[in-house]
Amino acid sequence: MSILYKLLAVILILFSMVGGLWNEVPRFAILNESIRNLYFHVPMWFALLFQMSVSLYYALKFLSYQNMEDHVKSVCAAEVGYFFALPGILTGMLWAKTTWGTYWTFADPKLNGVAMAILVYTAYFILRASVEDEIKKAKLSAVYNVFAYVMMMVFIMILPRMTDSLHPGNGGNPAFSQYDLNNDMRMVFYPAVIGWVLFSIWLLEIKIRIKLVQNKINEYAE
Amino acid sequence: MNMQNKTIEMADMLRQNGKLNVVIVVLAVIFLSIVVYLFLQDKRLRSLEKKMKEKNNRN
Repeated sequence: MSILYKLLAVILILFSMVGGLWNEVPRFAILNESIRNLYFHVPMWFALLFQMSVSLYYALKFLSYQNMEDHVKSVCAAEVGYFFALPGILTGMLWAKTTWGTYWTFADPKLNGVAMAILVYTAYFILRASVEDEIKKAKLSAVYNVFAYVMMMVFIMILPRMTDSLHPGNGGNPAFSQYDLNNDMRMVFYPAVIGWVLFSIWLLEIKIRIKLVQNKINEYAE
Repeated sequence: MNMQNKTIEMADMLRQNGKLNVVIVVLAVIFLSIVVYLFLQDKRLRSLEKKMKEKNNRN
């Protein structure tokens, strides 16, 4: 069972790499072939959002039932999600350089929002690191997790849509519409998103198992 | 759609002389090697968990 979704993740990502480079794409000035970055850059953010949602789910579960295992899962998911910000931002910067002419611009609300969201989650890890008592640490991080998730949603999903943005789908720019995502591209884009989300679940699973083994070892030591 | 607009520069040449498929294969090889590595780590972790369980049962 568990190996099936891993294989599916690999197949879908592989499909998006081959199909993503080989497929015919719409021709746009400025974007040119870089439109294919959609298949690789955007799924990073889907994986991040998915993992942060998983983290929130386990944080809420921990707050309801006080089960330490839920807390471990919540932290691991936040760590995996946090990791996906790195490829997400790096690929975005490269794409921005060739199309917008700059690696980073504070004129784009989505970039600002992402930077803020990353800071909010950085604070989450610092907060965790600063509390000694395990139970207090777990409760504090679960409560802060809810706050961090809401802030992230405001910063990257709501605010960018209320002002002008260079990103498609914001400030009246179309995204996922017939203008910039045709059916050929959807055929690659959706598998890519599902593939990367499944891949992130795999990373999460390994992370959780390592943490649980570590906890066991610590128990023996005591 | 803009599929037919040949005035916009795309990697048509790369596709015509058939060298793009090399890039695709290289990408696939890199990704697959990472996946194989990940699977190996996964297996190593599983054996660790198994050992842990056995030790637990003995105690």
